[in-house]
Amino acid sequence: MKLRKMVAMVLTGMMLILALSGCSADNAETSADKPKDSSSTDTKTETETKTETKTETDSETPASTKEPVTVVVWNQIFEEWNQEFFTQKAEEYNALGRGYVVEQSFIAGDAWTERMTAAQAGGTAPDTYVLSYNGIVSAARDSMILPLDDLLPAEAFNDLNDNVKEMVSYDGKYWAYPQLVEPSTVLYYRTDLFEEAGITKVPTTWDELIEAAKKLTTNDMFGLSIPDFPSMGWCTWGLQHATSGHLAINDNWDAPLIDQGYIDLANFYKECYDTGVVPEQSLAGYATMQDFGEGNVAMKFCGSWGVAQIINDYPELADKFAVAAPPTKDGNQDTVLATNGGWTYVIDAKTDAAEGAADYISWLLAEDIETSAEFFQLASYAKAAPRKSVTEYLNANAGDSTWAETVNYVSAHAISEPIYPWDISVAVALMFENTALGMMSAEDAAAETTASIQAIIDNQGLAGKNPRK
Amino acid sequence: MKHGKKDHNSITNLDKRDMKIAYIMLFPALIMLTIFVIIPLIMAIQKSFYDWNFYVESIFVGFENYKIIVNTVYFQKAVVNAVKFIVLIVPLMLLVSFGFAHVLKNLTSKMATMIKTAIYIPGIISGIAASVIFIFVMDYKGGIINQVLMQLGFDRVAFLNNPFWASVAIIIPTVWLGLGGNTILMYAGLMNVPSEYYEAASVDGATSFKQLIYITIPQMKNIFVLMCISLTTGTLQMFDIPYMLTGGGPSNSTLTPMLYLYNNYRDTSKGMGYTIAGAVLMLIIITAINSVVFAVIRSEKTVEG
Repeated sequence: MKLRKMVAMVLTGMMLILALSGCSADNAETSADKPKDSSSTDTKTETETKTETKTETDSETPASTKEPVTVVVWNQIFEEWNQEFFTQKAEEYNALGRGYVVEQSFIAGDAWTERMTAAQAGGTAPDTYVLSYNGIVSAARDSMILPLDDLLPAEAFNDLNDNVKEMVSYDGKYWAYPQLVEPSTVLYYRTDLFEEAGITKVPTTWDELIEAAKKLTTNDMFGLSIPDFPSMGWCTWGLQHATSGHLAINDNWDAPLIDQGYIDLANFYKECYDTGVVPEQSLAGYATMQDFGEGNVAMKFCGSWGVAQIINDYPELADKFAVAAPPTKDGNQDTVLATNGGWTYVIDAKTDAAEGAADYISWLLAEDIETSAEFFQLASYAKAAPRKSVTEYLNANAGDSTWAETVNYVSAHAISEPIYPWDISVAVALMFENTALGMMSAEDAAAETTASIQAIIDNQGLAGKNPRK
Repeated sequence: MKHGKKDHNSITNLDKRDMKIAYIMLFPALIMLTIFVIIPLIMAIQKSFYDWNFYVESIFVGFENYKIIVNTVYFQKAVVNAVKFIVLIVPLMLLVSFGFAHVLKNLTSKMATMIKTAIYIPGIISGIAASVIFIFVMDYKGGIINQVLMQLGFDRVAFLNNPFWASVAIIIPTVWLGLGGNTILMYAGLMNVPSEYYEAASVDGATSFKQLIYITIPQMKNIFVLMCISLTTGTLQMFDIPYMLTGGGPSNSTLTPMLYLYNNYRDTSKGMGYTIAGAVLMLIIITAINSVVFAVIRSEKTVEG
């Protein structure tokens, strides 16, 4: 019996140790996410890499008398060059000895929500992190981020382009500092294939676009790639506005606005399918240039970020493509053509290193023009700078970049992303999908979408709740 | 007799010592269950009644989150889709695994073992891996089926952009993954039917079909019920295959409740309480189905056959 008791005790002990070690492993990860001292070690996972450079503080700086404060930064994994740039910048910042040490983690976009939600729920959110423009208002409204008016110098905001100022503002305050602006839609096309097909004019209307796509479609290649249906929820915002003059609900958020413009846009997508110029099923997601780069399509709608993708991932196409403003129904390209999206830096409301986070953001994005400009040069001038001074610098130094002008043009003709609930955008995407796939007429799909949006408005009590009104 | 009964019911010192050890052995499992199941469940139920915010005080909203989720058209559509998949997958899985089990029963034991192993292999593959395999099979441009169709002179088929084919594309890997486990279960049930029943029936001149209807199926009632429960709850919780293969499309035709809740959770413009309410609702539905079926089993006292 003693033996049985001993065995039981040993087994129990082992299980408890396993359970506790499981918990402590989690804790270890959490503490690695946000170390409070400078002795933590770097960890690397599939979705995350960390950059930390510890430096001796300069003896003349006020911070020399105490340990530098750690500022935890969460960045997203985008292109390789992007990650290298921000890793290098963090190291440069840390080497300056401004009294703060930046510890930066790069997290994959598909794991971002889970990681951030868990960190916020557990009180271990990073001091500063990247946030897209359309997330700013809800984060500010829910008191998840700090206003930056008192943390960054006024000149930093005075230097921003007016449309960007609006995008980072809510309730009379600035809640984020912009890193970049990129129009959500431009048209990419293969110049060599245009020449072969005898197409001399870049399409500016939908009819011209479909005609060009017909000429470019062969057994091995589709003439055009339009957005995959799930992405239509967001990447068609600009075209929705271009075609109808407004977005899917009114400014008061109490009524759907699905009108003839939406029906026309749905019918445009249907015609693309019916004429066989687009693949029946998307060959690649909207945000990636893979299908264009691999020679499966001759024209493609994508955001301006696609330029850097082509240059870095498909260098053989670098001198065989060009970028144009997205065609519109009537060819008017002096209207809204896209939405301006992109990334900003925000400071977590529960941070105990707000000044350090602001110092890093200021150094990285709001001070030296060349530091900011370097990013856009690496991005092959395919993203627009949010600062006036940086834009001027880039315009003077863009060299022979053929697409910088187009990207800046579309960006100047872009509106900010809507902040109404995503369900409404899903309803609009379903309208386009149902029409394009021939499940119902555009008119019936519009009626169904109108009813769906009204139900969303009623169900979620949206009437009068537009935070920007 | 009286003395014997007393001995049977009384707890001896030996029993007490064994019980102590049993409790000690159970303790870690109870701790784990409490930490990872019971406490999160209680917290989830509590949070579902709040407009939950990590940064400011959460606001009690009563059943508001439940009202919103129940009235959400996409959640309703997802529940309808789940019912559709239950109606299609459960009978199909029962039929196929019953058929396979019958074949196995009539094979030599060596052959049966080999086939059991072969059909069980998909069961150890994760849904994600199976989805990747089926993407290679059904892909629009490079998929095996489309390559074959094109070689035969047909046009490509956009399987995952057609509501009918997209549903078929979900059902096939789901059945493929579950076939092994369910066939083994059926096979075990078949082997438990006393052979004397069949011998007696044969003597009375019952055909194979009559034996199937009057002996096999009634004797395997509990197995069918068990499989119905597990397949129904599994289908209601289906997530990985639609997530990987169709993303819920086209036109939300393969959107499942779990996939909807996952997408909803990632939508930062909504409160977390709303998503949690949906999850609790699904828990209630699944628990209710299980309770009803278990009640049926108990009431019919079929356990002993």
